[in-house]
Amino acid sequence: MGGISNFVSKKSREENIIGHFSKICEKATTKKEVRQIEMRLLKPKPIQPYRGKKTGLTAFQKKSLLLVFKTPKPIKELSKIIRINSYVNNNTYDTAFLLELINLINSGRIVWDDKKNKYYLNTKKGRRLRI
Amino acid sequence: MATSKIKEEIVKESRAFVKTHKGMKIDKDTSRAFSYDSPRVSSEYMDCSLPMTFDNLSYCSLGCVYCFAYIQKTNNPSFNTKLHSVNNRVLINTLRGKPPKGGRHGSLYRHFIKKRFVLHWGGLADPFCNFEKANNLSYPIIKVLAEEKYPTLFSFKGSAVFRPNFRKLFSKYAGNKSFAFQVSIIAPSDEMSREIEIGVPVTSKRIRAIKMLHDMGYWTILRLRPFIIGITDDGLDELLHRCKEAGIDAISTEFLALDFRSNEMLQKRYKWIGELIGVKDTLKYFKELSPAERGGYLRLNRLVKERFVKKIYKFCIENDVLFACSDPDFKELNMTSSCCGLPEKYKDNVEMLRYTRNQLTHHLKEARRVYHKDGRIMSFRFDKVYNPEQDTYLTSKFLANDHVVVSSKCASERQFGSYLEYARNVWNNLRVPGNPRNYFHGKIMPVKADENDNLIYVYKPSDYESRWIKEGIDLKK
Repeated sequence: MGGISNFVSKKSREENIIGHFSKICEKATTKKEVRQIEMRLLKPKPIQPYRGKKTGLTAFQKKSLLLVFKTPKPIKELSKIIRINSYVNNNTYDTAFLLELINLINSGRIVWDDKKNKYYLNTKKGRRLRI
Repeated sequence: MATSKIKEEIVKESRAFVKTHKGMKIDKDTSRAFSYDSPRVSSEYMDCSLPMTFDNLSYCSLGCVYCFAYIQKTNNPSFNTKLHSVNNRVLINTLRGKPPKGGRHGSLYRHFIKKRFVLHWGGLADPFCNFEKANNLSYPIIKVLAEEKYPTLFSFKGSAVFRPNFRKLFSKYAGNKSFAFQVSIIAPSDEMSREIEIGVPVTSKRIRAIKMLHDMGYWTILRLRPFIIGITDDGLDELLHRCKEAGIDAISTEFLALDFRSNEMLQKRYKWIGELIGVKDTLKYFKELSPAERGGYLRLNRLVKERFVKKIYKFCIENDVLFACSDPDFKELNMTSSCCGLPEKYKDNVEMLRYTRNQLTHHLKEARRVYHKDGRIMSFRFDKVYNPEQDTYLTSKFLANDHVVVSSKCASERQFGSYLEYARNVWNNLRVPGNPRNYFHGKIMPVKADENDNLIYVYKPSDYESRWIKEGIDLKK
């Protein structure tokens, strides 16, 4: 109970504010004056920031991928490869990597294997791929 | 625009609304007449003991100027004023244990009704408003609830409760003790009540409703919300004593909150409220005194509310009345896990205790008790607060589509969405207003992440607690 005793004994900043507020309010005669005193004295304090470990993605987020493009054009390209459910306009994220990937697929350097159900690197013509 | 002109305009609009809707009947010929989707899961399920919330009509006929449902509905572009009702036949079959195989009622039956989970009726409308006289739609449902002894909490202020058929029904089934009643009162005086609640029975009449239901033997709750500073506090002592005399068992309170996104009509209402409470610019008053961390739904901070909560809390202790608080501030003071004011122990009918404890109101209350009884600081772990094995609705994909967050989700995201996952997102995202640290404005604070990457919060004793203890107020209740 030591914690509580210390907690109770200290006179806080908030206690001073409340005490001050009560004293001034005693003199107020109208609702308008009380509201003005409230606005002057009882403003909220910001919460202390959290400095601990940041949490990662949730199980739900891990199953999803959000892709954002500057223009609708890459969406058309991408829709040839994967199914797109919706898109949002007016965002500016860096999508260079994904566009590079689409170009590689279009140029035939990466090919879809229906049997293995995955993409593979097309090295038949002896071209090396760098991503 | 002069304020008196605004009063005239608001009163005129509200009176016209009430008059138009008084004898309004549902247009049975339209295909959507009986398509209102309810019961549903409350959007406040993270700290709500009664997540199954129900309204049998799409809106109510009363003209309360502060109505939060009006704020939500008029800000929704898809809302229209055509009155819709739930499908009574399907609902009654579900309550009788014959739900349809799938769909909303099938899901609700599986997750709630089969377990006889308490039904909360009156979240966004009123079961006893003026529509009842013309349509008689609430009565058949209430009759079935009574016959099935289904535990139900009614929240209302309409006068249809005084109609002979309801009096007879409630009197007949009073012995079951399967109903509890929350009666909403905002203004201590009848005069103020007429100013701000157009077409609603005045305060005295609502106190009579408390007395009538209490005398029948029901658990009655004074629903002192929204508590409007400048209106509700004007004569509060007298109101509390009048309600105690009428027989209240509990008081549930919550302070008025305003949506910063306001349309033209709302701004006029805000201006009128401002005139009544003594401010020129209501939104400015709320914005300056509301913590920014809570976002655009403006809720005043603890310091502003403290003196009123203290008065009500002290009254409850002195008069052996249960204190309940739905406001995010002072939520830890709840004397029960249900911030609507249902009891923790009820020998007359234990089914009335079938509300969930797997939510933040219960854990906050426990944390405050543990701290003041044992001096221990309690921690909050996501997996301990939310238990999908007990509250199976948390993992329902179907019901998750009720959640407001789905409006910004694509179809593939909705396939994986559930209330549990949405809660986990909010729990771990310190930037969103609904995050427990922001919502309770620092009452619980994150300290680290657990093995599942979820934040762990701890209870943070407030300054007011030390001040109240010094004054001899018991915080162990």
